[in-house]
Amino acid sequence: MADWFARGRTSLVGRLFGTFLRQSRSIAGVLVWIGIAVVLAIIVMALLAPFLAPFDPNTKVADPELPPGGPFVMGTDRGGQDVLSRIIWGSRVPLAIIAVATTISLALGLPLGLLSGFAGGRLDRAILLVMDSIYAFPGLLLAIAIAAVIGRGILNVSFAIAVVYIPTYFRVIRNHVASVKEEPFVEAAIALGLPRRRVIGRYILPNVAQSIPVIFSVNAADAVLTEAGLAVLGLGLPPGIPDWGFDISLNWQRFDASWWATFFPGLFILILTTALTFVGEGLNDILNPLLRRRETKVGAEA
Amino acid sequence: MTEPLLEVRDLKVYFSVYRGFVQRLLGGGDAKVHAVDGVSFSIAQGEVFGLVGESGCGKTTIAKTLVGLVRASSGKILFRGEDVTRPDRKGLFRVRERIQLIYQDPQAALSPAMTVGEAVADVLRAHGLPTDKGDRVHAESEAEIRAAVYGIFDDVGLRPPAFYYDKYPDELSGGQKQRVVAGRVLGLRPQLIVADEPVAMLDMSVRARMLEFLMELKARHHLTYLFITHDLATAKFVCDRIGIMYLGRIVEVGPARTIYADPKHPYTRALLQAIPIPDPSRRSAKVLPKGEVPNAVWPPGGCRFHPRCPSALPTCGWEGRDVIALLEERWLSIELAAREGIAGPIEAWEADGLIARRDMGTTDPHAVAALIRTIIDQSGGPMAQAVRDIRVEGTTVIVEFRAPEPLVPKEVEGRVVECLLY
Ligand SMILES: Nc1ncnc2c1ncn2[C@@H]1O[C@H](COP(=O)(O)OP(=O)(O)OP(=O)(O)O)[C@@H](O)[C@H]1O
Ligand code: SF4
Ligand SMILES: [Mg+2]
Repeated sequence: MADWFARGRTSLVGRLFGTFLRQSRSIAGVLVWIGIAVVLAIIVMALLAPFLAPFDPNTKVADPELPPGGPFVMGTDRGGQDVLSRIIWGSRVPLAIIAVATTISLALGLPLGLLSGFAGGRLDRAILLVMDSIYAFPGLLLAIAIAAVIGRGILNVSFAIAVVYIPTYFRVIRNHVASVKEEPFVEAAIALGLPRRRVIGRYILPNVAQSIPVIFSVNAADAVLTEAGLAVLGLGLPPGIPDWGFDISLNWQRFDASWWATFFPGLFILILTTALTFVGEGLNDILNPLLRRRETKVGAEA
Repeated sequence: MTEPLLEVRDLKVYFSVYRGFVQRLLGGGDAKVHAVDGVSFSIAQGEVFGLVGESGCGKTTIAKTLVGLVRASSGKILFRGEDVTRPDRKGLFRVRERIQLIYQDPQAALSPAMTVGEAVADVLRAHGLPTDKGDRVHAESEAEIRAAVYGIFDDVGLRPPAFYYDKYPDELSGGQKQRVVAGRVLGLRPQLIVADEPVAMLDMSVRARMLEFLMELKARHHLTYLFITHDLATAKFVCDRIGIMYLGRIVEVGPARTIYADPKHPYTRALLQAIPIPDPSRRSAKVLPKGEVPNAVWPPGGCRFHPRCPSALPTCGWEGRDVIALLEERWLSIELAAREGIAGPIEAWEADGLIARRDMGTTDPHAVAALIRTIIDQSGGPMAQAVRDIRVEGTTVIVEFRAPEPLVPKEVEGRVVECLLY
């Protein structure tokens, strides 16, 4: 199967996936598999929430602050709601925010990085300046500022987080493009009279694409934490939507009396971010040697 | 004589080197690399013209200028009589259909993320499929493009084509990759192919085969080659005429056979003596003239070869910095450096065109002037006779040279040589 994907004709995704599959038994590969399995499990949990959750997450089903046990596997919180049910339903928020926020950052950061890296010169410096000034802000602080201005809601929070991560995509892609641009095959493509858009899209992009899944996973992990941070500060979602971060903010002052209401949401945030980090770091190990291998080859021949 | 296919007239290509803001304020302006500095040659239809020279003499720069990757600073490039020196966008697109490049390193010239079939197909998509009538039509379907690529692969000896179409460059040998590169270029039906050291990166064992292959292609497609190499043995094998380059200039140009049989320019002679003997154990038996190739930012005045030339005359372009180089060489010997200590250190000397000078401050300048005179006389050689005057002005010692004789390319026994010996 690995070979089928590697031969995966010219499809970019197929090629990257093939590279991954061929090395999926290395330590890095195992990390990625574990990460993917955990993320998939959480996605399934989010999708099947209505069937999996034993109780309605937003109604008082028992006495407040009951310890774990009996029908309430993870206990109840200070509002008498079932913690497990809130965790199951609450997985929807980080996943949605990852999806929306990373899509927005990628949609802006990738083309800007390609443009900036390829064009060079003044345009490059101008875009770099803007990106660097965004990057210079501490991420959470910037997200707080934006969220405070545009208000609550999934889209707003996603947008606030997206802005923070645009420079990450931009920088990685831009630097990568700037180095790939110097490769003779890019010059050769230009000498062959191929249009500029084609040179960028068909000769440069595929050679920088291995960075994308890596930044994606690392950013996704970060996004979950940022969202939780916003929620704890009351800048997340409107009340009523079950959300791990929001639940922490609701219960943490009562940690001594009912640690479980804070601990379990926190544990799940940790599990999700760790899984995403596994994916990111593992992919980094597997996909980026593509680059390294090329360099050593050229060096050996010279 | 019929009109040449390509004619290059007095081509100059200078690259600015950014020297930093402060240095520019301090004067001197931006430094320029004189990569190509007044080169003229022409190539007839069907010919293989070789450009030969050491590393850094400007061969690749000429190649890139011809296909519009680098801008000419001045001079003219005529293709079939049409000026293609500075084409506009559309003109450039057309130029690139007629003049194409084959790179030195086929591995680097192909995107590692694209199958070799696609690499060729992409060119056909952008430029259309060539027809027998000599024009181009856009392909109706992907199947048509694939068929055309198969045709090209078959032509360049990648058989069966279907087997190679979906390979990535990593999966092919160096020779096969160079065939892909050649095929990609042939898809444009170019008339002139500029091959920049096309076999230098290949395994010794496949070089001869590759050269033969390029010659087969030439015959089959009525091509004309500009063949670039630093290897005279290769050039002898393939070229009809060759131009020998040194530091941005062509010093001798003529029929290959004439030049090999009886080189006239001292540099050509030196190069020919340095041809490696075809014995692997003695491959590096090079005996090029002493000294490094001077840098192209401030190339030597007069004849550029004069600092290294074994036959140099007093009129060949001796100038201030040659004295400084002489002192520098002498003072490598600690004994001499100690004995001639009053004239040092080397950093205190300053060259300015034909003049070398040094401000002696409180030391007696006349003693130093006399010492320098002795040193130069002792060194003998043409430099000594080129000195016009060694004098003292105030506290400064000045060595001044006579102006060089202007270098004019001359017809010598069937070739053109740029050297004052003729
Ligand atoms: N883009 C550039 N900017 C500045 N200097 C350059 C540039 N390209 C080439 N040069 C300089 O111009 C000179 C000629 O270089 P060129 O690559 O044409 O030499 P070459 O004859 O092809 O040498 P080689 O045999 O090493 O390929 C060199 O001194 C080189 O350093
Ligand atoms: S002009 Fe001729 S003799 Fe004089 S330095 Fe140049 S190559 Fe030598
Ligand atoms: Mg070169």
